[in-house]
Amino acid sequence: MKPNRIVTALQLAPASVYYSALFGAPLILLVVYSFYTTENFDFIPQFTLDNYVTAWTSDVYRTYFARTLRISAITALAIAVVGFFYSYVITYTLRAHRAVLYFLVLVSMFGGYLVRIYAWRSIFGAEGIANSALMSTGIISEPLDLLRNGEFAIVVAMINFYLPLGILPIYAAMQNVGPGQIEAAQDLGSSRLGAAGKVVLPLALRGVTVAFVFTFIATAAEWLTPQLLGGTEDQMIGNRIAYQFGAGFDWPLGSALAVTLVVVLALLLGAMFTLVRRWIR
Amino acid sequence: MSHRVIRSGAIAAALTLTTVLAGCSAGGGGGDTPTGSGPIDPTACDGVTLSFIGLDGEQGDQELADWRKEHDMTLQTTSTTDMSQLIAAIKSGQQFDLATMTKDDAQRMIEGGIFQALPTDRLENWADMVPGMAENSNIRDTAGTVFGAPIAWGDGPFVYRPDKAEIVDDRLSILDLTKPEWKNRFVLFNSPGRSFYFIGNALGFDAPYYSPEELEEVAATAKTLVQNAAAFATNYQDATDRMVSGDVDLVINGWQAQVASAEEKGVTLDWGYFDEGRTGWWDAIAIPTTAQNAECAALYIDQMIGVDAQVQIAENLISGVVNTEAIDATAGGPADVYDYEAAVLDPNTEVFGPMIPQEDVPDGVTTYQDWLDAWEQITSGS
Repeated sequence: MKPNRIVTALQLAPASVYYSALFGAPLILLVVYSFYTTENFDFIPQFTLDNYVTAWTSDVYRTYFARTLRISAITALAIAVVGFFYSYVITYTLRAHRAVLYFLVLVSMFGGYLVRIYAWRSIFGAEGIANSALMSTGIISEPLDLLRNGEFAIVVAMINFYLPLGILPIYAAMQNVGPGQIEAAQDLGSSRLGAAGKVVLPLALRGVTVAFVFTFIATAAEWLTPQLLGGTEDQMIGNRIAYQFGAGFDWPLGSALAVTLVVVLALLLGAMFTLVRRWIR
Repeated sequence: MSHRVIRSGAIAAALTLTTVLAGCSAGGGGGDTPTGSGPIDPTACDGVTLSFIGLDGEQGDQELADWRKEHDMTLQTTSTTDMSQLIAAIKSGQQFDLATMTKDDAQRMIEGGIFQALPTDRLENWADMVPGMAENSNIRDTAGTVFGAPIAWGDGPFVYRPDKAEIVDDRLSILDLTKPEWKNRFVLFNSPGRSFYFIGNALGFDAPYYSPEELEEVAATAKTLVQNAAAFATNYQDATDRMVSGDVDLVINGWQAQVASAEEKGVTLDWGYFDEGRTGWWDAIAIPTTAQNAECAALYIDQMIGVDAQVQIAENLISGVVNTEAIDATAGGPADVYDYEAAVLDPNTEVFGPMIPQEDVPDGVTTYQDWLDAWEQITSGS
């Protein structure tokens, strides 16, 4: 090995070891476990595909996966849309204040995750802030089911949690789209909205795609938000994985569900990237 | 040697190492077991350090502080509310001398070799244990050997807000909660035990031992119950918070301690019992198979079921005492909320009978795994 390659290898070694030990090895272990079974809390290290058969063919888990993908897609789409418009405003409309507005996005990430969930708990609910406000103004006479524990509460809370994750890549992508291009579009007769859609969006599409992907992946693995803000039939696949690694003590099945989630996400996102690439061309 | 070869070798080594590690049976064994006969000599445990894993507040940290000081003993605590974490720790060989054993998980944990037999003949305070606990089948294996000593219990009421829910004589049927008037007004824990037990009784079945057809019927009713509920409470405190905030009026899985907790926040709660019976809870302390100081752990357990410790535990946890000599000492205190006659002074108490199918069910009777599968179907919404 040439000396400069040795130096490069040594420089990369700490990060590589860290990554391998704390990410790679657990992931490999997860895959290995997924082919085992358990009996009386002991692993039976005999290769079996039963866990994957259960994960892919059970009506119960298909329902969980379908619900998870639906909720994640809605959340990611909402974040992409809101993120795009927010990024557009701070990049082009309120350009003079973009530093402060960008900082506000970052600040929202400083609060603890659990603290924010409990904040949303005080907003949703039969006598939460939302229902109480509407009832006190006479707009409604009884609490709205929509503002109780349920899928709507989960989606709204996750949009709040992951919006910064969506805004950052879109904002970064818009830095490559100068205001002059928008002015040129308007000079050629486009409206401001038209310029946003026909000029900025295509040029920042990679950022929008990344925002969607990041938030889709993050929300698909969620379990705490549905547990604390969801109803009794709003659990996501993350809840079942957490259960199998907890009270269920069926780590192999939990591992198979986790690997299945990764595979499903990879396939969906791969298809999405392909479509986006074709559209950009 | 080329990069490709080095890289491939590294990946292969990682995979091999991981597979070997995963394939190694952890097995929790190799611990110490109490030997000898007769009462345990306390001086033999002077200076010993005992390690505990389990529910915080049930390790005798405060209750036995003076006793430990007297014997220069140290207690190291690993708190966990997750029994699977406890099981994994012991199965992977981690050394603990004492551990929590909960009623609903006891049989699986005993069957799974998590705990070792408790030498009850060497515990001086065992003779004073209330019959309903001392004779309880859940602390025993199928041969009748005892594996854990209960240290606290409750009689499993439902808890509710009397200012929002009119419940006559503190009695309710589980089937009432499936009616439209209770829609979104209660929470329950995400577990089939109590729901299936009460529903089975309500439908006239021999709970908790159901045939497949009976279980199907119980599950169908439970589905309506779950759909009617506002949410799953994650624990007693979460359920209390939801009632205090006014989101819900009742929790199916209740504990008298919730009343005190709500009172601190200015809300009055009350409790009652379902028409379909009572299903109590208990927490026990046991000796894991990985214990290194089993003899001293047994001595510690003897102290935990002694009168003084029991009175303090009951006050701290608002639970029932397990020592008959300690019952009168709780009178007038925060733990003076239990009907000992009904709950634990009868050796065949219904309150602490099996709420879920035990490990060895007869042919044709559904198992607890069948219950879990049915519950999973219900909660998936499919």
